[in-house]
Amino acid sequence: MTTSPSQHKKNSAQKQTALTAQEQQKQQEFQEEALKHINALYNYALHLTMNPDDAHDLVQETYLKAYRFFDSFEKGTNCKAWLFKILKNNYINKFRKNAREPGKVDYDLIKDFYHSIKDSQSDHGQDDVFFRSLMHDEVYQALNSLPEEFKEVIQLCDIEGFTYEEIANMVESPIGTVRSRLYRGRKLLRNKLNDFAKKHGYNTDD
Amino acid sequence: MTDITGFNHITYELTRTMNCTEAQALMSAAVDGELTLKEQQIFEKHILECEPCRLEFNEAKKTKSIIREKIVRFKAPQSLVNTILKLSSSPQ
Ligand SMILES: [Zn+2]
Repeated sequence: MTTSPSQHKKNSAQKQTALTAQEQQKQQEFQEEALKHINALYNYALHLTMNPDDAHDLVQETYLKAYRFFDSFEKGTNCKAWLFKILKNNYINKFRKNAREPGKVDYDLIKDFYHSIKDSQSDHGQDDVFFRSLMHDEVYQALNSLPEEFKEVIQLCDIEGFTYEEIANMVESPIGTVRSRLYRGRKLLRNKLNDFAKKHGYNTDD
Repeated sequence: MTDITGFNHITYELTRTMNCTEAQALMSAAVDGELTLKEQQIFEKHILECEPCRLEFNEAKKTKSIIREKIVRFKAPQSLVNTILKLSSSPQ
């Protein structure tokens, strides 16, 4: 991808000719390796910030940093895990160290979204009343109500499919901690989901 | 658990029983396919014999699949994709 908007045409045409073959190769590799994870990164950023604008900025900064340091990315290792780690560090620096509060949590937007899709995606072929009785937004709420350390490992494991080793590296804790957080987190989650299922008249005690 | 200090180690690992606390410590890794072969064997042996742990294991598996299937994935806005395409196609 080397096309640019017309207003930048002259400028970037000059720059393009100045690009070394090495730089061109880096661009191509970066776009092939890193760009395909943009949706996953955006979702992760949304989960962390709970705000679309902050998520947008976080992902943009992550890619900027990743591109700058792409030479230090070890070829053959998991690029997605590498990007997630950069995003997480960026998030911590931005929102925790400077004690700047993330933007207002946009619950309404998220709720509207979940209502608008309702159970249109529930054709999962699982013949399970408990499963089917749960709405998307309820599962989302249940996950979000968990303490951060549990929510985080469940996201990384169940939604993003990272290995324990990758998760341990991202959350900077031993694998044993990841194991026990997942165990406890899933138990807490199960209780919250049971509450929702009960509301729908599904008896979880049988 | 008694310390067997290496004595008859292999036979012991394959025949010993695991208690519920140990099984719980392996529960999440069992759900996620992160157990070693040896751990897998003793864990499976335990849940065959222990109903509460078996039920808990099934619940944990189901909880994982609910998360996987019910959490909606957002698509990154096209404006964001475009910005990133641009930044990675100009020299830094
Ligand atoms: Zn047991």
